Amino acid sequence: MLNKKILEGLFRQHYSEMFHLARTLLGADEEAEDIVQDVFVRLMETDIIPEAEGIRAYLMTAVHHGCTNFIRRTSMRQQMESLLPVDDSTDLQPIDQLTERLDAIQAYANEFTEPHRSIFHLRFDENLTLKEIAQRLDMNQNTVYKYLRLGIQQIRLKLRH
Amino acid sequence: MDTSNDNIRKLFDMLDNPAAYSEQEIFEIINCDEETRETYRLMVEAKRSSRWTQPQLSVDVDAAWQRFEQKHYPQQRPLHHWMRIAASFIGILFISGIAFAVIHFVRNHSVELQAPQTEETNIELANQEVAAPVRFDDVRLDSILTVVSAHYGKAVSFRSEEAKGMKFIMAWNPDSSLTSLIDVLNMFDGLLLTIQQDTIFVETTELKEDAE
Repeated sequence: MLNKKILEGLFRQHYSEMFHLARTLLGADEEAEDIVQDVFVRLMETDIIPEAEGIRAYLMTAVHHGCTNFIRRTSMRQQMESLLPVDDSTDLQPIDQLTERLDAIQAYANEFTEPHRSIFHLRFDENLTLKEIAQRLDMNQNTVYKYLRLGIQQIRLKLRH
Repeated sequence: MDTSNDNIRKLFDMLDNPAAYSEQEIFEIINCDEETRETYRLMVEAKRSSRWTQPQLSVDVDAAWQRFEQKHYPQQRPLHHWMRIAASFIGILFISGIAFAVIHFVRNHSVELQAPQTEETNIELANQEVAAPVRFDDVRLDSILTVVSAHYGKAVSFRSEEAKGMKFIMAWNPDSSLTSLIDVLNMFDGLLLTIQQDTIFVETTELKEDAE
């Protein structure tokens, strides 16, 4: 078993970042903590840890895989309600590539002109429905739908390039 | 046949009103064509992007470690105050390398009798092959040290008559070092044991009596 003091040191050093990643992928604090704890439990049960330079990547990748496995066990309804992936294609990419892509999406969304930008952020930051966005912005719901769909298409094009 | 636009509308409506759709309908809508699947996938990423880039909420790592520690390392029962004192004392004794069941210190100022039974016990112990642990039950210090010194191959010299008569109830582990036994006995107020070369010197530090 890994020395407790060593494990505690790794825990305190990396927990915040690991938890943030798990919460990003799952959208739920309790599940995120469970995933991160599981990573440390597996680490606790081993005598071998990666070298210092590789430990962060190891831990973050372990979180990533833990989240992917968790999502696989959820029902399609739960996946859809929490906007979780229904297939693995999004989650098969390396962790650095995944986080770079998330940063890029937010950067592209921030470049939108209005009302694209507001509609995008109201949908994905505040989880408003199309009807609620339409009421907030005093717009027709069908118009909100078109703007949102267009914004998603623009992001897709930018990511492809 | 539904157009791609209709499928995307259905997807958006389903995401806004999930309770209105069955598990099967959810599956069919998301997977009806590549455009819809791709749109859903991007919405997942957009949502994750929002979480990822929002300012990180402060995480209480101390609390998280406590939860982890309580769950995955053996818990210790909370001790009452007197139990903590006893535990600390016993802990010191274990650190000294000696297992003591109970140590009871009784000063005997008036009795200097060498009770025959005690003598027999002393002799008996000294001549026995010492097996751990050895229990001394209200035995004088001079008798205890007779046995102990024989085991470690040391002589004993009392610089205090009073020290000879101090009585102890204790269990001694012969596998432990003499130094550790000395360290433990020196924890008692008024008693001082030292080792010089091959001799254990014993004296009191409170009431000095001329031992010679």
